[in-house]
Amino acid sequence: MNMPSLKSARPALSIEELTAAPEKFLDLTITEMHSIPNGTLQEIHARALSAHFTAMVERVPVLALLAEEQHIREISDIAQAGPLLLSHSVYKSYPLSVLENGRFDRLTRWLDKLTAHDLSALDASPCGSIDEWIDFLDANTDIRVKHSSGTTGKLSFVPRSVSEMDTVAKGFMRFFEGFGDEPDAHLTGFESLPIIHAGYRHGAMGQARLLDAVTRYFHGGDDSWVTTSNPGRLSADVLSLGGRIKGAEQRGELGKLKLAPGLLARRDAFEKEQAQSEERTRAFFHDVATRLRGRRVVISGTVPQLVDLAEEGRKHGVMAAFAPDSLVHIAGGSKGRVLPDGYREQIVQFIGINAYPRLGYGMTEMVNATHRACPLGQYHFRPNIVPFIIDPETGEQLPRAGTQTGRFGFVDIAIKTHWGGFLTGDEVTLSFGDTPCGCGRTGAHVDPVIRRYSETEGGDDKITCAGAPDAHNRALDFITRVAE
Amino acid sequence: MAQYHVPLIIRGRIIDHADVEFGGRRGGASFTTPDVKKHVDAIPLGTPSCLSDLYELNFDDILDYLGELHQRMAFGRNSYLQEAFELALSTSGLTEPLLRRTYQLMRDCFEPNFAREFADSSIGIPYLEGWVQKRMGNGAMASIRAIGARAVHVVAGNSPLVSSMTVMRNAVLRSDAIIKTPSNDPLTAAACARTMIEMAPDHPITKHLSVGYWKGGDSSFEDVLYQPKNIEKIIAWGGFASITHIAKYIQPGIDLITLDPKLSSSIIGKAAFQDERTMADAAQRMAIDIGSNNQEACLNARVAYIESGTDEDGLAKANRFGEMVYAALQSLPPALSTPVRRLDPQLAEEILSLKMMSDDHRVIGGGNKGAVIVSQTSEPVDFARILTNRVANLVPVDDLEIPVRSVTAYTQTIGIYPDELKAKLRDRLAFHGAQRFVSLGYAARMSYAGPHDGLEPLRRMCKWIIEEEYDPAETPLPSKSYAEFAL
Repeated sequence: MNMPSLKSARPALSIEELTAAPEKFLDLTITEMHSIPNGTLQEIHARALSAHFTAMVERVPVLALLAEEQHIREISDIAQAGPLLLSHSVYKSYPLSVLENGRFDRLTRWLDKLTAHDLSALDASPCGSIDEWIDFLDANTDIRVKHSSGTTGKLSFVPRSVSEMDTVAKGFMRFFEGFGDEPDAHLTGFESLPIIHAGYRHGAMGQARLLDAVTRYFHGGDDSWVTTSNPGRLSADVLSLGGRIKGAEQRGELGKLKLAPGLLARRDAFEKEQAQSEERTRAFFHDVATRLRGRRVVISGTVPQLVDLAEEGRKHGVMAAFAPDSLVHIAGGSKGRVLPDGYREQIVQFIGINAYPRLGYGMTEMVNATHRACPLGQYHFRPNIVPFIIDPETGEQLPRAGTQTGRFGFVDIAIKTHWGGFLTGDEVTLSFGDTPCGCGRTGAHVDPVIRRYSETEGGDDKITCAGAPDAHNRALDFITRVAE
Repeated sequence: MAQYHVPLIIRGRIIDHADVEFGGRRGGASFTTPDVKKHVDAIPLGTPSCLSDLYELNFDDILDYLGELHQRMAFGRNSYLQEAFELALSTSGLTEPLLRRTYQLMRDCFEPNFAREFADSSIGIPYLEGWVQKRMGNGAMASIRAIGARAVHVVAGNSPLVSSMTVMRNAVLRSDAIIKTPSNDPLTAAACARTMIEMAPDHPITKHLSVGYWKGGDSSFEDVLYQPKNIEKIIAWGGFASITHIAKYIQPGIDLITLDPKLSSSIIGKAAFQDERTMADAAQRMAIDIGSNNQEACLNARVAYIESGTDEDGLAKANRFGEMVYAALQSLPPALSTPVRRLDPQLAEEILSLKMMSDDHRVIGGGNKGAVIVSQTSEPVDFARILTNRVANLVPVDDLEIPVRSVTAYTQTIGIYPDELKAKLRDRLAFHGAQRFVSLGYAARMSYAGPHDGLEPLRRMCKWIIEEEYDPAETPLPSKSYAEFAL
């Protein structure tokens, strides 16, 4: 196969290279990676999956146990990986009391089973809070834990590491790139665009970690390229507490809630941060209205985050803030929020673009977390994602052909330091790629109608990304009350 | 895929149209039923005084009626019940032997002696039968009566007995019931009603029962039905979401009685661990409380606190006890408990996660035979609320302070061993929210004639009316001397 390379200076990537290092898929343009014939892709997937399994089964204890439970010693066929997808419950299988009692030595031992890094020599017992523990891992290991927004206070922790960061950054850039003859098929100058984000700059959730990766890869770590509506940190502790408070309120058990001592000690810092939030918003819009006004930018956020930003923008008299050819990254879904009528127009008018952009689908467990819909509305996974569809009731794998509806799972073969097999809670309708999408892209693609199983299974207590600031404020109020 | 028809029954009238279809998800049974919206004017009892025909009966007439119904509800002879059973085989969480036994036992709630005890101990038959006189301290001669109400019963589908009990309650309370059936048991209540129509088509008890299926939360129908002019009470069995939904219809004139889901547990004192024989006895009892009806009911034990101690010796005892409980679970008789059809997928994931990731839990068993998870610390698993399908969590403790503090308003039954512990703990357990204490091993042998979930639902299902009569000779009217009256 003769495929053009990402930059002409580099040699083209061969099947062998892609099989040996599937993260290099992200070095290909969208046109290149989605032109790989389905048969070739299957071949790469089968071989890379086998290699990923072999590399991880020795080093990741949870995979070794699961493989033993499923009597799987090696993978020679893609379908063999179907029983090896880890559900989100694995990534939050520590006891909640570990967080409540600040037992970060135990949390580290737990995390050790999920990663290929050896954490056995680490002593995390001095950590007094989740945030401290995350900082401790950042400072002393290559692990860069990503956490979820948390259901009932239990955050899931995915042990991503430095070795995936550049792939994350490249994957983000590819979001904006079109295919074939599409007008945005030749994306240039990405590294000269300021990045605007509607949300917190720091923390260990997907968005903040993404900004870390992007500044590192494209800007040599120069953070001045990034402007966020909140330059502070989205605290994992405060998020977890927010979830626990909500759960405890529903069960009438608020009086039983325990606070880690480390959290109480940080009360003053939290209060200061809260007091600054209005000033920070003002400063952000001042920056937008002056330094960034009319420039071509990259702007990202979830739908509710961008709706809020547009609303604040209107209040601050900032409309059509950026150039019409700005790159807009919107992660789909209302995240449980009821959106106002005309929210799309609000976002379009605030940013100053001509039309509401196509949304993205993906998840924090994938190296490149989002995939923008094609012109026909289908989501095409990058070739480093090997998809599976599982019967939600029986757990059986559905045939890897044609179009299947069921629970979506995948192995991300671009992941280097933990097992990339993950079983989501999403019901999707997926075409395995044997009949290509009308847009011309090869590979598997997903219908835009996506449903979360938890929505029908009493999952109404999940605090989503968009709900996170709400939970954050509620938790801060609680800390203040308890401490008084 | 089997196809069933569920009739709409309005006060003795059977409506058999097949306007709408429900169910049929993933190869399960589906059913057709009339569209309740087309009958929304006929479903509520228009005039409350239409209840008066029930008041021409005396209590013995009601018992006679129930006695005959008891005869006709024999499972082997009742084709309506057999059809309900057939459908339940594919919709219920219970397996075939358990369902069969449940349908065989169903008629017992109509047995006259049971119905009499039930009504008398919950309310007192004289209050149902007439006006009970009582001299009050303020001089009044009061007459008090428990009067029937017009009620919608949103019944649960975890056991078909909920439907038959509702029919019985409605009869002894001389009330008018509209039963909204659950999608996983749409036929049992209808089977009762059809048996009643066949037996006594014009009897007032037959004519005060309506049964229908609509999708819970269908506001185009419920907005119309749930109005004070139509009903006085809503008796709702259901989960958090469904109760929250129904609560929005509460307004002056409508009373909501919620039988929301509860969880039950066990407390096993250190006396159980004195020797192998006592341990085996406690393990057998524990297994019965876990496994009865495959842990589908609120009263089944899910978490058990065991005073084995938490030192090395204590944990060894706890693990040994776990093995014994698991073995006892496997040998329960099939009419009481069986392997499940399929372990709940979410629970299966949690158990697998623990097996792979946790140093703090030992998992005995798994899959469709059930499991015993022995915590190696004094903490229950974080997913205790979804334990089902014969999966229990044993939590070793050094003293009983932990189980007492873990009780919440969501706790229903606590099975306790040995019996002496009950008297010692019951006040404090009750303060924390527990509602029923029972000898370990007897959790499922609930005395239905007692209070239910700490809230006396039967008493709340009627309207309590008082008549007061004053004799001016004994209690002067205030106009003569208001100051004297005020004293």
